Amino acid sequence: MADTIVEVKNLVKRYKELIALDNFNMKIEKGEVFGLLGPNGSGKTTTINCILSLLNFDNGEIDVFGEKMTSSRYDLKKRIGIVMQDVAVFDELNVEENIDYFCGLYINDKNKRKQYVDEAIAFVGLEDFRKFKPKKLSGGLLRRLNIACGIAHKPELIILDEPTVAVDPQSRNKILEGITELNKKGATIIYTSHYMEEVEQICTHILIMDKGKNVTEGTAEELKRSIKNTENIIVYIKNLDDAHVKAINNINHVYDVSYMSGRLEIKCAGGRHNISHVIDYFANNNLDYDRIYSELPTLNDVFLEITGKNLRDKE
Amino acid sequence: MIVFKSFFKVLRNYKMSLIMYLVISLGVIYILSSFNTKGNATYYRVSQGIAVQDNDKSEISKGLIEYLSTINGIKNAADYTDDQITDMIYYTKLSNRLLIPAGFGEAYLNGADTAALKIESTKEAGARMGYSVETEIDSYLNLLSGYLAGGFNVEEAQKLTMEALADNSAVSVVADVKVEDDKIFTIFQMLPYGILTMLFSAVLPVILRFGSMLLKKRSDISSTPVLKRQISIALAAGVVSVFIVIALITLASVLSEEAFTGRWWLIVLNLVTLSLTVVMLVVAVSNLNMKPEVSAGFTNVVGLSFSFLGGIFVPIEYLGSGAKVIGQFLPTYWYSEAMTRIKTGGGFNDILNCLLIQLLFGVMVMGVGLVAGRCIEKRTA
Ligand SMILES: Nc1ncnc2c1ncn2[C@@H]1O[C@H](COP(=O)(O)OP(=O)(O)O)[C@@H](O)[C@H]1O
Ligand SMILES: [Mg+2]
Repeated sequence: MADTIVEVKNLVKRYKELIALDNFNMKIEKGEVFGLLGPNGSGKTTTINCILSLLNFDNGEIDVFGEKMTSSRYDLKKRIGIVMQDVAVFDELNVEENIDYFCGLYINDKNKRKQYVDEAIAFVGLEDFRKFKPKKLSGGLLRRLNIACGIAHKPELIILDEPTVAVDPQSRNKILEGITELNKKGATIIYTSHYMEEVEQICTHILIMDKGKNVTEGTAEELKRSIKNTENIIVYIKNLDDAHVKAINNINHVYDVSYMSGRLEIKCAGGRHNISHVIDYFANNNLDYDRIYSELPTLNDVFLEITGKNLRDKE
Repeated sequence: MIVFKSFFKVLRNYKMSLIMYLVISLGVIYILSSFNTKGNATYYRVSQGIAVQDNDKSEISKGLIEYLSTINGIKNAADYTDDQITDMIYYTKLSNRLLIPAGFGEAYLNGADTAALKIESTKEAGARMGYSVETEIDSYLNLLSGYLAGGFNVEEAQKLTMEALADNSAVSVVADVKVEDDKIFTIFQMLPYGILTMLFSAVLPVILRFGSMLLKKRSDISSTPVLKRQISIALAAGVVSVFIVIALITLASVLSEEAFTGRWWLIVLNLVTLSLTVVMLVVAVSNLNMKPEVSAGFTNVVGLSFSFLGGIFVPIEYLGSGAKVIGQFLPTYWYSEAMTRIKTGGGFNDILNCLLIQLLFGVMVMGVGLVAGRCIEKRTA
């Protein structure tokens, strides 16, 4: 039996004329790693802030742990851990003191807190930096501290808002592994990001949003299966004529071809052996290419097919 | 509890500011108190405007006026109306108005203790400069009577007195005794600077840190209610402020070798009132949602302007009438005013007004701060 941890119904949030959330719906079940994926400005942070009652919204309903969430529901807040998009720590306190402070906002028992703080430090791998002030930490370590501050009190629901922005690959992997581990230990996770690779890597359920609206949702597999795009063939080739581009578009199962600065991208819907048909075409026309390979569609293709835009402006 | 405790952990980062401003305050006290004892001649040589009405016109009164005119600018009171003189005193163009009664010279030579001997000196209530003129008169008449008693005739005695007073040492000997007596005033007079700078440089940034946008947001999500956090912060800030004020009072009492006397209690009451006002100022500023880093700037601006325009470092009269007009809107001015009143023998009832004005200032600024804070919060929400 699945319990619903968070339910957002017909949420509307306006900033003056701008509609940040437009009848947004979302449902998160216990035990999920729920990915909220969307480009910058799509309304992810606004959604999180509404769930946490940090923002007043214009319309809609939000239930957390099956109860109506308001800013004075401290009993519900106690069960939530939050890692905000912007690092929020005291410059004047060291790593240990910072975690102790935020943990202390939830847990009064001193001994229990000491144990929790130690566990959190070990969890994010900051043992060697206990006495360091935040200013002395690199971007990646600072993010890890930010995470430790959010999860030290062992919440049932953990919300992470873009925790890997501006983080080196090593810290990023450590963070992603950690999130999976927290989930295995029983926490439900809401993870927002505009990096589709991360979301695909760790999330059991993905909701793609754009302009404050729910675009589509499901597992990564379900989402990819839902679109007509099944394969993308990439060819690096110089000086290809428009005529050839048009001809390739007419190959069976190919429905879209784009050619830019020596990179040819061929989108296919269904069919088998598509790549050999393309190779045959080049052979028959005596065209010389550098590299050719085939890719399965990504979440970006899902987003592209539904909204007509890329998830990120530049890949 | 964690908020209360963490307040002190954050405060630890500002201990250097606390020490620095404590040292500066002590330095200022040291410099100004030694200036008052050793460099007294310069203090006496400050030229002031005096309106004199000589109803005596004796040799003695003329000699006295001649002596006063070597230091001060003398105006004949008869040339002005009463209102004009009152205005000039208010705007510090004049420090005193002297009325030498008829029969003064004769009474003086007879050594008679009569009303005729009394020179009437009117000055702006609380103005510290006016006292130096009175001291000049005392010095002159005391010295003169010494020479007269020594057998010199009036003309010779007057000449010798003038010469002796022109020599600085004669004055400072007289002054030393007096200043020794007033050490408590010199020292406590400087303390508002210490309280202003210490609270603004150390307590303010900590409060601002706890209220900074991201940390506040992050804490708002937690299961500790906002009110509980705010009370903890207020309590911690209160404890720190009380500690600072008590430390300064103790230090100042030790330095001035005086405590628990009648005037000591009045002075302490005055200082506690000022401290309370400063705390209210800190609360007002802490509502404006600024970065903790602005505290250093605030400390300098508020510390110096309040001290100078409030007559903490030097008597406000030295800074001219413009400064005085502005100064009257500052609590430090009324602190100084209360100090002057206590110095001249004033009791609780005499300084009550000064205390209330200080508090009123604090309450008003705090009110403005709270309202402004609300507006800022609404705009950023
Ligand atoms: N305080 C605010 N005032 C006005 N507009 C805002 C504010 N916060 C966010 N927005 C706007 O709302 C939209 C959604 O923002 P946000 O939720 O931060 O997006 P995301 O987290 O997905 O990047 C954006 O267009 C953003 O510019
Ligand atoms: Mg965001």
